[in-house]
Amino acid sequence: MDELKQLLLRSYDEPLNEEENQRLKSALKNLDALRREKEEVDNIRTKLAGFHADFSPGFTEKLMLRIANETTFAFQSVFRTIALSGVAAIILVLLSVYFVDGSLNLDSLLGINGYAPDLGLLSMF
Amino acid sequence: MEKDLEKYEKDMALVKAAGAGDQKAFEQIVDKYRASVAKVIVGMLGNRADADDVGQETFLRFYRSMHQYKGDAALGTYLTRIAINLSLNELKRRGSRRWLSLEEKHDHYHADNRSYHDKDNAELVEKALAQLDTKYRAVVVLRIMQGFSTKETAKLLDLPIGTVLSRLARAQEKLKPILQKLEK
Repeated sequence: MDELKQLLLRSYDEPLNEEENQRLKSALKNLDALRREKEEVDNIRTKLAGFHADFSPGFTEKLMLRIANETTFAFQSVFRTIALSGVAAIILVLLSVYFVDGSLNLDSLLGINGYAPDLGLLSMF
Repeated sequence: MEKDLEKYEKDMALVKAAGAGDQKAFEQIVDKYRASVAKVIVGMLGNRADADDVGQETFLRFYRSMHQYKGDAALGTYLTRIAINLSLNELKRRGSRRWLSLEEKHDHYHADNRSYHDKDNAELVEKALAQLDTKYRAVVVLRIMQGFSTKETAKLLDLPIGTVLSRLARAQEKLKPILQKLEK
């Protein structure tokens, strides 16, 4: 009987071969206990398959809000990274200008500190 | 078969749109699969408050790794894999902590709009599943409740098919007296 019970249970989840199928069919025809067993298994499986569940109301809205916050945060971190790199680059440029020219005046920043225009050339006009 | 293909193509289009930043498309994915993901998680965890958290995490994980989804598996299967793994992690984290009392869960039943028959069945199934070991619960949830094939269940749980079959048989043997007792 135990073997037939196992065969019965297996029949729900795996295709049986021809010989096993015949054995189960004839056992179900002749054995009351196995038929009762089948009814019980059917009953369990129907109950389990009929189980429905859902999340609490507002689940999707809450999730979408979290995603929106995450996206904003990701954008802010990218922006922050780019902004910090930019500020660091500007500081480096200013420091190098200061060390080369000893000053941060406009001429130094424009790279024309110490440039003397050729006045002779201007007098031609 | 054609319906499956159509569903697959629709899902792929939604994933593509969501990946390109269309949040409405992602919302559609969530609405389409939340019930089936909930079935897995509630079946595994029982506890509704925790189930919501794990559900949120499931979809967030998918959102973050959407670019990795190439459509090798159906979207429902892919989400189920995330959901079952997170549920198993949650159960490990909980350790020996038991489920919430039925009274606490009952509040959630009032919040949804299922028929009383469904609610009774859901309570009965949840209580019965709570008495099963995690390893049996997982095969029952995936194979019997979600309708995955034995092969798919084995793949989702990373188990040999023979193990899935023997766990299913054992689980049903265990569930029989549990359900009989609960129904009295």
